[in-house]
Amino acid sequence: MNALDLLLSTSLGTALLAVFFARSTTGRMLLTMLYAVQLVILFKINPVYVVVSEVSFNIWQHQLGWRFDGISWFFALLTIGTGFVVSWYAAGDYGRKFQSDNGASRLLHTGLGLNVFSMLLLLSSGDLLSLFIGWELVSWSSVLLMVLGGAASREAAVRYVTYAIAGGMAVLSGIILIYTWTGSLGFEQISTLNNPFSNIQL
Amino acid sequence: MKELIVLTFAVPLLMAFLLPTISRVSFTLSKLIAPLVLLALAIMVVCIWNFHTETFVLHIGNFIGPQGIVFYVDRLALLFAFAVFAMTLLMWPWYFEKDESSDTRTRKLSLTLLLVAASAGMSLSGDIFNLYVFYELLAVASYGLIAAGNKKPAGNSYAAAFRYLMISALGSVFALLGIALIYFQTGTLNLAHLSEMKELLNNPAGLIAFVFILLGFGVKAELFPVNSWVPEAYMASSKRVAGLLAGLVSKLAVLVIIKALVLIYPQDEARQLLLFLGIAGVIVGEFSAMKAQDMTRMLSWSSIAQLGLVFIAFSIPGKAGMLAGLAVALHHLISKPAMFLIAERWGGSLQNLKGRAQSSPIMAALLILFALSMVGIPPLPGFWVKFLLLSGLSAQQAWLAIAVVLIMTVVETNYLYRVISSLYSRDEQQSVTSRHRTADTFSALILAGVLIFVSVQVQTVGQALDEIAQDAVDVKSYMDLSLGGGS
Repeated sequence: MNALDLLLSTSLGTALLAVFFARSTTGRMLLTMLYAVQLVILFKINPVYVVVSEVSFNIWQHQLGWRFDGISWFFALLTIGTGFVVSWYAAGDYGRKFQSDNGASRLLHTGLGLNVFSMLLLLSSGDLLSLFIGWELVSWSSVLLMVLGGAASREAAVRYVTYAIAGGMAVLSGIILIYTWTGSLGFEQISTLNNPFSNIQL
Repeated sequence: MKELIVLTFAVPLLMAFLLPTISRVSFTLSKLIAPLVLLALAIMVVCIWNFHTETFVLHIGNFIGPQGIVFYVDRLALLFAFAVFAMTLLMWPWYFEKDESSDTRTRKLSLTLLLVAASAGMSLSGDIFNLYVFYELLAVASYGLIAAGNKKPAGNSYAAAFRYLMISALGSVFALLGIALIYFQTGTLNLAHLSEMKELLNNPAGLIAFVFILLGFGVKAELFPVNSWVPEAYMASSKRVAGLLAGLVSKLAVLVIIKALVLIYPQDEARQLLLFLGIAGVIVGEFSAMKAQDMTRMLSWSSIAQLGLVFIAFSIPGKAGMLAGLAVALHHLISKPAMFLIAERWGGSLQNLKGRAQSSPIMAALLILFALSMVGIPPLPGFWVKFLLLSGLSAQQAWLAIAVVLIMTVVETNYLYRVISSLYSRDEQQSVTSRHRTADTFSALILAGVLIFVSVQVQTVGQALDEIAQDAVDVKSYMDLSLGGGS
């Protein structure tokens, strides 16, 4: 297991542990520490080199894999950093007040954890298929955070979901078209194929 | 061991007629013995799957085709035969209404076994007339099960069953006309023999025969436009019966149409017709589901739309179409019955769903799982199903179909998410509602387990489906085995 796999595993573990531990102050502090652990793991990854995950799948001749490059590293830093700060803020007085006002702490922290994990999946995607998987997971994990505010936010979440799925389907149609034209979904394979999508000269 | 395959329809058929007698001795015995028989038959099918890795043909009474009755037992047939027993066990009528007499209860059990026998026969038959006979037996069983729904106001179930009977009878007339036309043109009804002579059907009369067969068998396949019976019938029957009809019976009817398409009608006109009717089914189904004010009605229309996707998938030629169609069909077979089980306690007006998740949190969570899979959210199986479908359509440049599938996915997400949002609403104090029955929760959990298993093992399952699809489109092997005296 390399650093990228460790990072993704820790992120997923944080989201899953939030289901059990988010209701107590100690549990919320633990979750905040796990975001700090993710940052530590991230700093162990050298952004100059590409890190390829050891986990990959081959489904119907499509290779799904994940990899981290410099851009992935930078945005992962923003993502995990934001998750850490939000978790820290929500762990203390705010968390206690939120819970006493009948707020769903578990939903808040699980949603946050899943958001961070799915964004990391998106940032480390190595092909169009894994990109789409990350993209959809980001959309749906965001819904968990949107519904926290009550009836009005739930109505807004319905609109968001509709737009998000419409966007997702547009992305999927683009992916399908690229696959039809190029026969591949891997970034590197697509970029090396001599198949310009547009002849328009601006 | 291969001769044992005959037991898959013979034993449930025999049990269906013996059950009233057993019930007079002990109703509890009759309630238990039937599921045990189904379990034994399911295990037998699994053993045949493992023992006979090659396709084989069984000539009933040792009369070699095309004269005799033939059972063609490939991986696809065994898969559906197993699905028949497994789904019936999961949707078995374990509980009854308090005011139901012992006779009515026994009748329901017998009709369910009759449905199983007919379904098993349909998945294995190798000639079109035998398929028709089993189809009619299936129809009779389903009329009775819908009529036994006992829904208030009194008479609703009878009215729904009568409407279904009329449309189904019209469908049967069409199917019989189509079969008669085929026999008139070719002089045979054996599928392999028909495949040898398919050039004789490549004319207007032959295509008309296909249209008749499509509309005839399409009634139970919820094909547009012969699917108007579906919402009332599913609302009037118990949710277990609705789940069985929507999930299992519809797929067997699709199987008949696909056998005709692959073996006898490989021409483009047949596929184009299937594509057109599939698109119409998806559009009508999804918009009607969005307008539905009742959860069962919403699921019924959603089922129609999903079957439309199945037909769109099978309109893709070759192995790609068979693989996509099988994937869509099997995904629907797992998801829709589970959603009907969830609707058992929540089948009323959508307005009354607010906050109901608190009384049955497990079922609410399962509804989210199945809804996400149906919409096509990765990594659930529904995503891979949609991906296969869209890839196949893209290769055929079926841009209209692709646009319809994508746009209707947005519509589907909207109405499913509204239901889920309502279930988790905490703004209104709801009166205490009863929880789901243990039997329903247990069956839904098993189906959810299957869904999650496929999500995790998508590589293995995908490979297995690929091999099944490859075998299913191998027309030459089909003809050689069926007409060559068997394996």
